[in-house]
Amino acid sequence: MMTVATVAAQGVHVLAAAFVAGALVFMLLTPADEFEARLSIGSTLDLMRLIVVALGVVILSGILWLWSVAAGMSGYGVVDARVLRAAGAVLSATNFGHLWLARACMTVVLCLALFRDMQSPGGRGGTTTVVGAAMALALLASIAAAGHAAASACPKLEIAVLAVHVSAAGLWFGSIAALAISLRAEPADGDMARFAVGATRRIGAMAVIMLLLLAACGTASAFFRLSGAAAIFSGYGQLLIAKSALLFAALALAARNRWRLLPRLSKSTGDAESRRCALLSLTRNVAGETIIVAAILLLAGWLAATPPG
Amino acid sequence: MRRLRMFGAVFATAIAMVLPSLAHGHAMLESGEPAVGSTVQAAPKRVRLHFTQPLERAFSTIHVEDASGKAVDLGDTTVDPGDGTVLQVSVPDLRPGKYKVIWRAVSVDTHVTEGDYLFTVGR
Repeated sequence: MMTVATVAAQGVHVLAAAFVAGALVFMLLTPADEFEARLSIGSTLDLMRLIVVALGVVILSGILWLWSVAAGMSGYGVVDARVLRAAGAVLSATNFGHLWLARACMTVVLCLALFRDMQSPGGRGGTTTVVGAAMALALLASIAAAGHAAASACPKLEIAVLAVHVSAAGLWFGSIAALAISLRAEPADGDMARFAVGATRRIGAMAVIMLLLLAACGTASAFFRLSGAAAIFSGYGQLLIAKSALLFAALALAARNRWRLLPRLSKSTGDAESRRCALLSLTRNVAGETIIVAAILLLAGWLAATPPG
Repeated sequence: MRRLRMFGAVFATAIAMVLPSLAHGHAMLESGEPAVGSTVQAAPKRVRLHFTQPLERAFSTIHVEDASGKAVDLGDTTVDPGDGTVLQVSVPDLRPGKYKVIWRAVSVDTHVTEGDYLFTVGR
């Protein structure tokens, strides 16, 4: 059984990496003219600043993750100074350590790309944003190689499937979190309403693709891991059902965005009060969806650290 | 009936979406040489343990103790180069008696499992 420290560090790491990747993809999906017209330089940089803070969390939680894994592997307590030497052995001689080093290199490239972006007008530097988003996505996807899939009978296939699964879930979370932050920009005028409609539609379309990928990965995983399906009826399975219930809740909020709040917002561009109310409803709904998807990701980390049955 | 079917389809899809979270078990002891609880007539040259998953060489260990609790293994625990799921340690010529094998396995997915078992070298 993994320690609480490992599960916590891993959970925070996944969430932060997902936010960085999703927020960068959100920036890429937002047309340049909307950046200039709607997301003022100040608010864009606010989003960029949050990405940088999240990247700091990625780095810190990554170090804590390594420390707690080294403590677990060596059998020392997490506050034992000998863990430092054990961490060296983990880095030089284990699958997890080699992956950690590769991910550290990705993080360095991502930091450099973000640094260049921060220096660009509006906090968006074209190629460097693409490089940053690609690195952030690789950083997120590579988490798949750190878990149970690495020890499976067919590790390459299972890691690939899990990488797509983690990326899809992470991008869903990160992009709607960025959308929720962007919707808070002032003033709530007609331009803002149009931006909100466009951005929510784009993120909604991406979320549909992510959900299809999640379903495809789940089906593929079930196909080559049939014995695992029995775990649904165990105590472990109850956690899985809780995760499914949260997924239902997130899907319900996403559907409400798409079919109820967006049409309301589209119709309200002329009336300031109804527009303000529609924007507020949409912002709250997207924030709620973000919190639920974050809970799903944390639960996924807990499940991944727990043996079935 | 139609609603029930729709609910079933949506639920199955949701389960499919979360299925990759189904974890495999940790590295569990599958078998041992000498076998768990067995009595062997010829003293083994080494103790070999077969696990369900590949292991990390740097952190996986086997210790063999005699009936008085004294360590008798040669302290050269290794993972079989030809089979990453096999952990082995050499032992000297064991005298007849009961021996305890204490193992600690670290899987490549970082999870740790521990256990022990007894075997007897016959007269």
